[in-house]
Amino acid sequence: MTRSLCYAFLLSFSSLVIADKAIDQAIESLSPSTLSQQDMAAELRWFQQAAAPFRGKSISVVSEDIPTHRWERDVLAVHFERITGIKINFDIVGEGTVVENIFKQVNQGAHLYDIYINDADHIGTHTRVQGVVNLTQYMKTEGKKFTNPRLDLADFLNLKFGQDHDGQQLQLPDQQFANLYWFRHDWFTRKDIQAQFFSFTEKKYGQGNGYALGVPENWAAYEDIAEFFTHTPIDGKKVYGHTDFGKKSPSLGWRFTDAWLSIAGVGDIGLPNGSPVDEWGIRVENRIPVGSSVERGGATNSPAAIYALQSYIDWLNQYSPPSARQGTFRDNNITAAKGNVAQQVFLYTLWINEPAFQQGEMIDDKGHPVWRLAPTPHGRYWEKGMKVGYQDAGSWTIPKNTRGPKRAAAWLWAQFCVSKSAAVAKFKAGGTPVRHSTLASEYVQTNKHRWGGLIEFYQSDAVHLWTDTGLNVPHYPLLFRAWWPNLDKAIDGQITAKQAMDNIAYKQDEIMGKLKLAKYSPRLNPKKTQAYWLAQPGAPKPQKGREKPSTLAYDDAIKLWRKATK
Amino acid sequence: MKLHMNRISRQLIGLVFMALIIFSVGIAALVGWQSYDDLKAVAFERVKSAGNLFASEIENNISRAHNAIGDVESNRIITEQLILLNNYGPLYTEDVNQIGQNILQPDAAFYFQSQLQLARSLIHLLPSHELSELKVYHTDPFNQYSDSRPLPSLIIDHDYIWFFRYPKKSSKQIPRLYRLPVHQLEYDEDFFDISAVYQENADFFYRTMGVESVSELPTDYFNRLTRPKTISSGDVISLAQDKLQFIIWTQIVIDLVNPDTWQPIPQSGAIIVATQEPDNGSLQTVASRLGAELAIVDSEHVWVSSIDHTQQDHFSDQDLKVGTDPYIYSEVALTLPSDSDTRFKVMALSPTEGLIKRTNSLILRLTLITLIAIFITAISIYFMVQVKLRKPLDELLFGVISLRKGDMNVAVSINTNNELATLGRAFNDMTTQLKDKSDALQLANDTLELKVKARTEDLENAQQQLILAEKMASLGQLVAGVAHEINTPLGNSITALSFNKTESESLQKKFDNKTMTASDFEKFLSISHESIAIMETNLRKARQLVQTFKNVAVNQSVEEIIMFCVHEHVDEILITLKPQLKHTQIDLHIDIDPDLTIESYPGAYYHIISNMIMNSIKHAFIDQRGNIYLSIHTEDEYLHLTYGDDGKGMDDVTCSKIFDPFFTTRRGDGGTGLGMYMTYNIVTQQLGGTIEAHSEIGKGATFTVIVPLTPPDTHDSGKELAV
Repeated sequence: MTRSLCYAFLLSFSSLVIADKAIDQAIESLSPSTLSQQDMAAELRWFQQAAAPFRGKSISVVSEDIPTHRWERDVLAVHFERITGIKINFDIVGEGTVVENIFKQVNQGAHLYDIYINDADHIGTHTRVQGVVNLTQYMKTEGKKFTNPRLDLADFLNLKFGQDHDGQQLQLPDQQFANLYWFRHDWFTRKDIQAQFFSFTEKKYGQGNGYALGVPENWAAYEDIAEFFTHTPIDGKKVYGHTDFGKKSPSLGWRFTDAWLSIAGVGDIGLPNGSPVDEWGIRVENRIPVGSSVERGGATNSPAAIYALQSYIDWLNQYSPPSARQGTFRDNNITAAKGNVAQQVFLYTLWINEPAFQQGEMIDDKGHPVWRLAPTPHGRYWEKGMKVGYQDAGSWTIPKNTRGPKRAAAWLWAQFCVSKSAAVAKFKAGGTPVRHSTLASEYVQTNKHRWGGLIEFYQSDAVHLWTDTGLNVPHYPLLFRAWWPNLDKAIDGQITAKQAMDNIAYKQDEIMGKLKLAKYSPRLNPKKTQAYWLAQPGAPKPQKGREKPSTLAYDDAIKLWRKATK
Repeated sequence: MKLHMNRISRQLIGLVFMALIIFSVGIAALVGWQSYDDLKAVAFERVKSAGNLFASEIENNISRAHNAIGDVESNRIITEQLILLNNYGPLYTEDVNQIGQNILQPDAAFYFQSQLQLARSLIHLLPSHELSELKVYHTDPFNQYSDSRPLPSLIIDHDYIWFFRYPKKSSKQIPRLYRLPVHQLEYDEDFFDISAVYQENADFFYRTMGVESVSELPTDYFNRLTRPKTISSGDVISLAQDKLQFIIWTQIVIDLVNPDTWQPIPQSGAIIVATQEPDNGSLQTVASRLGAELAIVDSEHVWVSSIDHTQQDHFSDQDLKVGTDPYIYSEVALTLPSDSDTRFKVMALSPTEGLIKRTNSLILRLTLITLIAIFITAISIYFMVQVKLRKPLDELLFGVISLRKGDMNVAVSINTNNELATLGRAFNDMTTQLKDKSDALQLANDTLELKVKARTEDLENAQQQLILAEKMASLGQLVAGVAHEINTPLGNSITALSFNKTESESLQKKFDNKTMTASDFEKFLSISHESIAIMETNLRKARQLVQTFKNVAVNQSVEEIIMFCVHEHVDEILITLKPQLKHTQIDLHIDIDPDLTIESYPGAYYHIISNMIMNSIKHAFIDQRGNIYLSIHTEDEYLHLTYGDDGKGMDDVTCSKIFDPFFTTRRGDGGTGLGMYMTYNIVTQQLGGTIEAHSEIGKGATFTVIVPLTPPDTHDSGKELAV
């Protein structure tokens, strides 16, 4: 008896020693942090103690395939297991599969994973389906003892993305990225190229109507610049004025639902998503979606949406490298970073951390990027007061059927991933910050030139003009199914841009008509003529002519962010 | 004339027919009884094989059904639903705190959803494996509930889907039961996607699907099970007392999260129970396919049967009675994995009532058929014999008899085209030819004598003419010889005369011219004397020759017996042959007594000798030197004439035919072939002697003639015979 007690003591002691060693290793590995080493140790020790009941157990996690999550799986999960004894079974799959799984779990009860990293784009769905744990409530009640006292929600950049209409946190951001314009700063600032561009615009628009090469403020200027570079060899080398991706895949749909329609100006004024019509073209009244087609007051098949798709197709065909048509969300960016592209209307900024953006022709002699990020140019239907771009937060989401101790263990892991202890190291690895403190950290501020303006963007006031899909979309996965197959057909020339947007709009109406959701379930407007709705103020907006192209010098464009900061 | 069947034949035929009839009836009975036995054996074999077939079909069906429900393990969609069912069912929880707790509304909704999806995935197993029912049971995979037995979750039969609904996570509870008609199982693909489980309570889904609540629970296999739970997966037992059920079940291994480690591990989480319930109707279907009645029995019961009456009365291991009907049957024990004591057997039966009836009818029919066949055959044979055999034979017989009697005009009538017709035709041809030949023979007989006589005369005439011709030829030869011999002395005489005349004319001239001298005259006289002497000599010689020829000619032409000197006669003959001999190199060696005179026909000798010499010249010495030997002597009263040459000789064939008339080897050169024939006739007939010839090729030829010195006095007949 005594002996066994001795053994038990020795065993627990030794495990404590091992765990301490694990904490030390973690501190070393995750530094620098915005926390002092003592605070880091305290935070990590808290995790160790809170997870004590779950030692020896395992939870399952799934996420999309981006560098941040690979780092979490390969580095963080190892530390977490060493410290807490909880094993993380981390699956990294395509974003489409993540979405499919979480909704299979939420709708059909299949217990596939304990916790998901799910885009906050789905907040509208989670709000209505109510299949995920309300973290605000959880933190107050059952999960209170498992909630990190150093979580510091106020430090999060875009906490709102994961909240329902009532500010309840359904998803906690784990990583985030924006869609920003980027261009070859080295080329844009070269006198010879500037002169060539000016004469190109004079030739195009007539004497006295030429304008300077700079960050395009609108699509007309973007188009001119794209045309110019595509037909002007740089240092004797063929370059392209634009790039994009056009392969038939879900990522083709995201390109549109995330950003393309919003920057074209399809929706209404209002943040975060335009009210009453959002960037998906869905009209929402009193939190209730009422229609997607113009006939029901929506804008998914409005002239602005058709213009957006047509521009996309034209630019892809005329100004992109030939391989772009076959590219997806992932491999498109490799093309973009080969050094033969002058600008891109918007890029998911997470990719700027990829080696492709940090080597070869993409850096100068000092190793600094030759490219810069800048505000995204607006389409001709865009109006002041509308969202200007897209950013999203891949967020921790716990399905309701992850219960009791499992839910607690999963919540611990989620908090570990967004802890201040790990935040800077994670940003270094993935370039997807979620905390103000991370951006303000000494390390980031010292090295901010590496990210070509991204830090400046995040620290500006303008950042709130970049939003995610938001609460309007009542069932993201179901509605999303309408998008990419039709877009592909249009790109392929099988149907026109108008036919594609009509198909999408009517399909969305059909799906919304069937939905029976817990809260704010869609209720479709009766059909009216398109003319009626187009005559109403705001979206859907009637046909517009081409805008006057205009550009800004890079410094002036950046000043807009800085001004906002002040 | 007619053939008549005799009594013995008739009796024999009668006996044969009787024997045939008895034989056929006997055979029919024998065949009938034998065939009954055979048919019964065949029927038994058939029921046996039908029984085997049916038994193996049942075994296979059960084995296939067992495999099919076992295969569920490899079906991802089904196992996913089974996992779900476990998560939200009454007997499993990964969080021990939930044991005994109420099942939450959303979880109940998920549970129902899974039941629906599972029903959709499993329902096709019913028709494809002839199942009457399929049940899904919960187990207690991690033994979280002590002493729990499997709880039913879902029952699928051909009419309804039955849904069990449990209020609590507990092993002892009474579930609520719903059912849904099978045809209402359809729902949209996105039915679950568009519905917020966490808003609506579970009733919403039951309502939406249109299920009805049922108060009475259907038979629960595991509740009925009284025996210890030692039975292993796949066992087949029959539970119901009033009907036969093969119950096949298997535990399904699915990935369930271990409550201790939260790691999913493969665990027996569900049991699928399939029921096959063969009924009379389904057996009848199989029975009609296999061609035998079928039943499934155990030692006490007939459980199901394709025959209405199930009361059986066994009276042998192959025969039994169902009701009052006799059957032949075969039993096969079913080999089924079973924990039960009950051993089922498959019985295949075939009614024998029909078999007996059929056999009797077979015997009757066989007898009748054979009898009719015999009768018809008999009549046919009779008529065949009558028409095809008897009649033509009668006619032939009649014909033969007529022919025998000499009526050559008889002919048989031919109406058919068979062998007898051929025979008849041959007979008719024969009689016709016989008649023709007979007529011709008669005619020939009638004319033969006249013909012979005329031919004989012709022959005689011809012979005479030939002999005359031969004689004329000899005479011609003679004349030619004479002319030639006379020509020389006459020519010498003319030459001398002509010289004398020339000299005379020359002297005359001199005389006229007065130039004649004495010497001239003297010379003339000398010449004249000399010429006259020459003329005298030659003319005498000519006269002598003429005399000789005259003798020969006289001898030859006048066939009278005269006295003559043989030597002289031979000399005269040789003179006549001088022209022929002159151009040859033949030396003649004559050995004849110069004083020999005989009284005979000199012409005959002339012919014999000249003919032989001419033959030697023509045949033996063609352009060849040689010798001819001729000797004539008398010996007693006979004259021996031996003639030989050393020429080419003759072969045996030629030698043996040399005396035949018209035999010649030189017909093309004008030989008649009658020379030696005449010689033979002259020697044997005219002279009454013999002649023999000897010869060998290359050794010459020898003829020996022996004749009496006095020829027979048969002038007339000899003449006749010589022809």
